Amino acid sequence: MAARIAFRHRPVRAAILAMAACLLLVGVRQAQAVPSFAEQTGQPCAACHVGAFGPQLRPYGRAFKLHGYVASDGKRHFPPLAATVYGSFTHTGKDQPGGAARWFSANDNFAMDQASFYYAGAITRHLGAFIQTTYDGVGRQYQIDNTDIRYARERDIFGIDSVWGLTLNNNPTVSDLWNSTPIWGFPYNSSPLAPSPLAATRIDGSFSQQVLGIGAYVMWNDWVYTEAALYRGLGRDVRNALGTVPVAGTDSVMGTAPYWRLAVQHDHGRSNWEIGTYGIDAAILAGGAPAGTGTDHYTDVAADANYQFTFHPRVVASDVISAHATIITEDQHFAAPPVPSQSHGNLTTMRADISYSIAATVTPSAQWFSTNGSTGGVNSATLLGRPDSSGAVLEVAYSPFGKPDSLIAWGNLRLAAQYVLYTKFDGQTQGAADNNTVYVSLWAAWHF
Amino acid sequence: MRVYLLIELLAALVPLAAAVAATTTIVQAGQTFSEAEVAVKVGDHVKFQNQDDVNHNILVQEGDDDDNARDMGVQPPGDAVDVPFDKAGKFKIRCHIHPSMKMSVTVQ
Repeated sequence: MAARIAFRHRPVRAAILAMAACLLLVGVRQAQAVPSFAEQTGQPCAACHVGAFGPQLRPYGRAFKLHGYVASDGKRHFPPLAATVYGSFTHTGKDQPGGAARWFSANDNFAMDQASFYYAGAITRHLGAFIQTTYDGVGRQYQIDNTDIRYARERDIFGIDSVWGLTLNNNPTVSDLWNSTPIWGFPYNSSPLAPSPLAATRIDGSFSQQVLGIGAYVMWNDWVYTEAALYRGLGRDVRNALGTVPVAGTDSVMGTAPYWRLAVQHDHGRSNWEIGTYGIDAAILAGGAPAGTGTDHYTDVAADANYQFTFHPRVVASDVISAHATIITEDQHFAAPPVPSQSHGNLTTMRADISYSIAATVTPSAQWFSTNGSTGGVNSATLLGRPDSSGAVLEVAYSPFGKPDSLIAWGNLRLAAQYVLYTKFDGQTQGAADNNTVYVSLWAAWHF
Repeated sequence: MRVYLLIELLAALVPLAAAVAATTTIVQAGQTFSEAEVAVKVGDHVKFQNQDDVNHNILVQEGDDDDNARDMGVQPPGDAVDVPFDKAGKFKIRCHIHPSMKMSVTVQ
């Protein structure tokens, strides 16, 4: 019996070791369409993605991720390598004094936003990975980006078909299956050369590539999804080695930060839906202060919902309506507040978006967003400032390829025009429109 | 003379055997199988008809051992795959490409 237990656990131990080894060898920010997944499965981009370009997932895309990125057409495609590159034009309502960023003008900037290289696909029969490294063309630095290495198996639990798995990743919610959670949420790319609101909840991107976590997940009966993970902050030397610069003066995650996820979902053929909750609890050493000076404490609790309607399930390039929503509430406790009355704070972010993908080719989308919370603290640049921001994002995206009858199967393009409209920006209504942004981007993706 | 008689007897049995073996057709559409489970007899066939506009790839798995599943190869849109079941048992049918596509065949 003992030998049998050891045999059963050996694949799990081997998987964890392999996942750790992969993370050490290599090192994402936004999720994108990855043509090596398309090559591995023999499926066009539209099979997995709404609008035939990532990262918005359809039911098959979620199943592919759930099962560890290993589903294939049975042919050999190793190694699964891919690349993406995108450039853009940004116009803001008002010039940004001193330039939109170093090396850029005060307005009307063209940029090569990002060039990314991926290992995305199977490693072994049950182990797969999405590993992205990115050259940031605005910051002019190369760094590890979103990474999610998975081991997944199918097993009966209480006599019901279930999928369980392990994930090793560097960003809370990067492992998630739905596009309502922060890392894979709309908008799927945005201008790095436009002003953005100061206040954001911690789970809304601040942990990206700053942590390493291991989690376990179960999808039971295609109805209930649970995931639990523990994250540790990466040391400054590690972050420097992985290209995260500057490290000095940035926040550090102290100790272990637990992350949780619970979702109820189902696919009914033409329609699928999800409602759920997720969150994280983290101790943060502010501004890179020396250890021992006290840590701030953040608890983020969120709820989310998704709905998708596919007009013709037998047609991969069918029209699809998608809607996503989330609300994130953050409770903040500060170890050394500049004003004693500000030892506690809170922040709430709400977002909701809807898109209508026409023939997986033209996808108009609209989003409403709002953030509000307590005065001062880390939420505002000034002691009495308010963190409130709100507005809308309107976008039209065009992807000519990625369908069963497309002329090319080895790559894809996405041309998008986006308009970000602010009704309030960092507590100010007057002048909020100065931050309105026109962002036009062209994204190319291909596999090797 | 005996040899000719034996050959004639065998030749007569071949169409008889073919007539006895039944074929059940399962449609693959919308990335699902048209049935969740079917029961057939030993020697029967199950035909999988791809009515999607993307490839499928049938795997036939006996018991829980998914490492030794029989791979029926890539099945382009419009193609059918005929799978004979020559022994009794419960078989899981899945698509290698679409892991959510599952059904079972019970062979009696």
